[in-house]
Amino acid sequence: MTPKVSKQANFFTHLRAHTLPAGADSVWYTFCLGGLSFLSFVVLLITGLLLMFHYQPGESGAYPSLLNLASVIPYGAVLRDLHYWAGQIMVVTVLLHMVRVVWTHSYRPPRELNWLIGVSLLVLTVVLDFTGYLLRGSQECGAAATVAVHILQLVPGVGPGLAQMLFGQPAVLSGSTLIIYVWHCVALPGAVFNLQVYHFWRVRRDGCVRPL
Amino acid sequence: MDRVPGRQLWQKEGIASVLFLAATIILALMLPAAVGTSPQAPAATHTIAPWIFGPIQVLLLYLPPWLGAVLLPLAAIIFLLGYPWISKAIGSAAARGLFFSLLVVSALLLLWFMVKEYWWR
Repeated sequence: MTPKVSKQANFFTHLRAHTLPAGADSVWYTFCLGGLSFLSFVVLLITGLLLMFHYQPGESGAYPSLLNLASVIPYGAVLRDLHYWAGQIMVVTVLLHMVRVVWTHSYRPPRELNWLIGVSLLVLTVVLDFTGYLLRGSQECGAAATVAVHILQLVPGVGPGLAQMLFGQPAVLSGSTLIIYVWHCVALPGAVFNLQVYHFWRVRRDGCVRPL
Repeated sequence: MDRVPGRQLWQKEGIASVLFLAATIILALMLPAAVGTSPQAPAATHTIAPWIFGPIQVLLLYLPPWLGAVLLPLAAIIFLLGYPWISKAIGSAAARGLFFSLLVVSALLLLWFMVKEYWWR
């Protein structure tokens, strides 16, 4: 076996170990909150990919394509509702997961790095939720995007550049821009997926915590 | 420490996944996501943030933007990032108290937002 294969085997064994510490198979151990967050993410990826076939980003195209999805495309409304609810549930499960980690002191050494990754995942999940909201392209989203751009511009020095990089120039009556679309569909999910895989690997690597 | 086969955990995770997916589908079928107001409609004078950002909307109503929307959320994120080290420095009981205080304040702000924007209107 080459060293590369050995490293891969090591990686997957850590993700899915053959044996676990006694008690770690209890539902009351973690409430499956991390796993459910990941499952929500998978639902978001699948429904998001299907929504991308019909959605058009931009000031003029976003809202009509959203209405098209909600009322014309077969099962479009169900896909969109699933995408929406999986997103809301993911924010809640990630937050509850963090509360569980604090309650069981699971952030203690040697798990500090995994804690940092977890908090980063929470922040990225909230940003994903916000960018997804802006892509509706409704008046409310235009107002939210305008407020967010103005808030970011308050950051001394880098603020205006950061606002342009993250949002582009959203219209006041429609928050949807191509830049937000790319962040929401490519950059942020890619970052979240990679961090999640590393997070799970480190959970096994650093060892399990005590049951509740 | 005694060890048990991982298969038992995978089976429980599988059951939890099926129940979770069923609950999400039921939720999606019963409560459709809003589409909001068309950009072609007359401009609205007041808009409501998504519930997740409700606490920030409340803070923005009463505090200057640099404080309510930049400094306080940034301080909360820095506190969360540094939590393991803060816990080591001040003790886990005190750190946990601070963490749950932050959670309670956020929940109260969210409740304030819900009452003000949804139930009171």
